[in-house]
Amino acid sequence: VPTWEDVARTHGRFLYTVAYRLCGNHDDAQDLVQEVLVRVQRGLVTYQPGSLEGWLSRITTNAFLDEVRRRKRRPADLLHDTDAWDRIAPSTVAADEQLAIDQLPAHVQEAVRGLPDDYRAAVVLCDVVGLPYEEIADSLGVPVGTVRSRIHRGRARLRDVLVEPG
Amino acid sequence: MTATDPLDPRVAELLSAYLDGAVTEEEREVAAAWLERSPEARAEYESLASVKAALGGLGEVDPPFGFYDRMLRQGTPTPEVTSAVTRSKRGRRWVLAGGAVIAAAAAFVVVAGPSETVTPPVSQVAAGEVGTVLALQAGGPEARALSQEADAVRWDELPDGRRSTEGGAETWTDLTTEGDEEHVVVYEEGVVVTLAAEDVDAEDLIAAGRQVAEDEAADPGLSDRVEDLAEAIWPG
Repeated sequence: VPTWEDVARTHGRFLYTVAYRLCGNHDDAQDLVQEVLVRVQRGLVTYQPGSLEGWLSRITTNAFLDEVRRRKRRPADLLHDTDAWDRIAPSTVAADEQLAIDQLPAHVQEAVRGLPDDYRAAVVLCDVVGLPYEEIADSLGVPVGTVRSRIHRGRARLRDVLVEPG
Repeated sequence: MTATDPLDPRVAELLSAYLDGAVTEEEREVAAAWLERSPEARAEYESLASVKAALGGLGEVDPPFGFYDRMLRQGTPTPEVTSAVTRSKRGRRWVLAGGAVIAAAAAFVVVAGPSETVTPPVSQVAAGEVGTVLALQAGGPEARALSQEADAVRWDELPDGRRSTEGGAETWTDLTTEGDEEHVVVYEEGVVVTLAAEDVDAEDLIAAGRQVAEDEAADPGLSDRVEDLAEAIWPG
């Protein structure tokens, strides 16, 4: 089992990247990284030999969603209420649309930050970390079908935000 | 299925999964058939692929300078609270991390009377090696030494550093990182204020000044001077 010092030394940059992509800002990312390292230090997470980065991504996402749930005990923010988003069908593209997507990292990051938390976690684990759907489902504690739906809805939402006027 | 049908959201979701290779063999054939026959499906697929590429191109993010080193030096990732002022000033948990950083970087007592105040080297503040701090050093050789130390730092060589005179106060500022971190050292009439904080505001500084003035009855003008300094840093 890797120690928290091992993680900090050898995978610190990766861990921070996942945390930052999930949180969208440095303050919360630092908090999140510390929480992850505390969980590692206290043996609150079990490690099965395999991808260390996949393992770290799962811990980070769990810690992120725990924090999100904790904050949601305060008055709900409809914009980040996944249930509300689920009731709206994701957009599709017309056949004759040639969409240019704004690839500027700062804009992409800002768009990711605007996603509902559950969608953001799924999209980050898939498209930033590169985990397969099964591992994402395992991380989030939801069926693979839900992961598939969240990734698609997340991407469709990002497309709507990032599309450049033609 | 015809080329003129509006794209069913379920097909769009299938194409998204197809993009990731996360489909069964049967689904793969269905998705491929849609892509072959439907311009809508192709447009949808291409736009989703662009989004995926944009996300994949985000790259890695560097943690703040010294972030892990501080924890490793301290021997624990667990933050400890060392500053009552910091805690009351800002209720969020990450502020407490600042407390831990302070403990690791220097035995730093925040907003105590001048005789009790131990400040971190200004060079550490400038390099972002100390976390959220707010310190006052009023009068005496300590304040002078601190201002000289600030003067010795090459602020202009820092990523976004500058040295200036604002409202009669000498200031050395480093607005670092892509966030709103701010490292400021201010010197005026024997009062040195050292800040390394994301969102320290004038009211906190003034309140801290009042507290120091109350603790140090021998320096009744301190509160006013701190207020002047706050006005110099944050006009209006």
